[in-house]
Amino acid sequence: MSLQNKVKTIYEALLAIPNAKVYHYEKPAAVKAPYIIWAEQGEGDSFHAGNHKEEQNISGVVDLYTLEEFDPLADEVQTALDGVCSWRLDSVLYEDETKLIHYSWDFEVI
Amino acid sequence: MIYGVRNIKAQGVYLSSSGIDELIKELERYTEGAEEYMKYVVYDGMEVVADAMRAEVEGLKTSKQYKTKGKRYCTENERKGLVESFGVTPISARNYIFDANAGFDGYNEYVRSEPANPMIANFINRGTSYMRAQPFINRTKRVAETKAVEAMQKSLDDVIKSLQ
Repeated sequence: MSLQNKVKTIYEALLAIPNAKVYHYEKPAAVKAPYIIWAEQGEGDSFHAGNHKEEQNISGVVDLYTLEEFDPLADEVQTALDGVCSWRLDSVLYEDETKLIHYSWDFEVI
Repeated sequence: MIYGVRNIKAQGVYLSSSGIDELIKELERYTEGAEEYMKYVVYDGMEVVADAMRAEVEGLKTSKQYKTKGKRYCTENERKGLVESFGVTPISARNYIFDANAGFDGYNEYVRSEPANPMIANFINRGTSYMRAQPFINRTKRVAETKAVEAMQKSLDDVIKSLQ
């Protein structure tokens, strides 16, 4: 699969979440939480053999910002990513200034 | 003939027992101060990680240096707090597992709400709704891991050589 097609599978998976606002790289200023921002960031641990890239592994992040405690959207993101890529919930941060809860996942897609 | 065989056997036992004695002595020499030596080795690895991390923190982009339209970078004061609170823990040794941590401590007095420095570090590393992510911790790990392992290997080789 090509680089862009791999990246698009993530986008399609996130867009399939009902009633979710999904943006690539950044969101328009007017959009209010909850929203999802995702971005590819580079190459993960790819597989090379015989001076050749056998399998390119693309890594990136998915961020969910929400004001709601125990937001089911976090579960929905995980369900959406499952089966599409390998992923890991890297951190959950509470922003005391904005009162937002920030879920952040790392993903790698082959 | 029989005598000859016994003689060789005896010789063999004598030689190997001497070897074992020497080996035991040698091993004792290594294990006696092993904990201190290993701490010394881990310290050398930690030095590499700490230097890399310090360079990353000092190189963080700030909102004063870089004006942006959308999300801002971290502020000068946030970075200042991180630079000053950065430190390394003493090396702990439990059941011959040696461990040291590098990180941030305390609260940032330069920011009005006095947030915790580890939290600021997380915010900068991962980004927030209002601040751009600068994954400096991930970068340090990627850059320093191999170098730290190499430094520890070299240090360990030196320690073993000095004991021989």
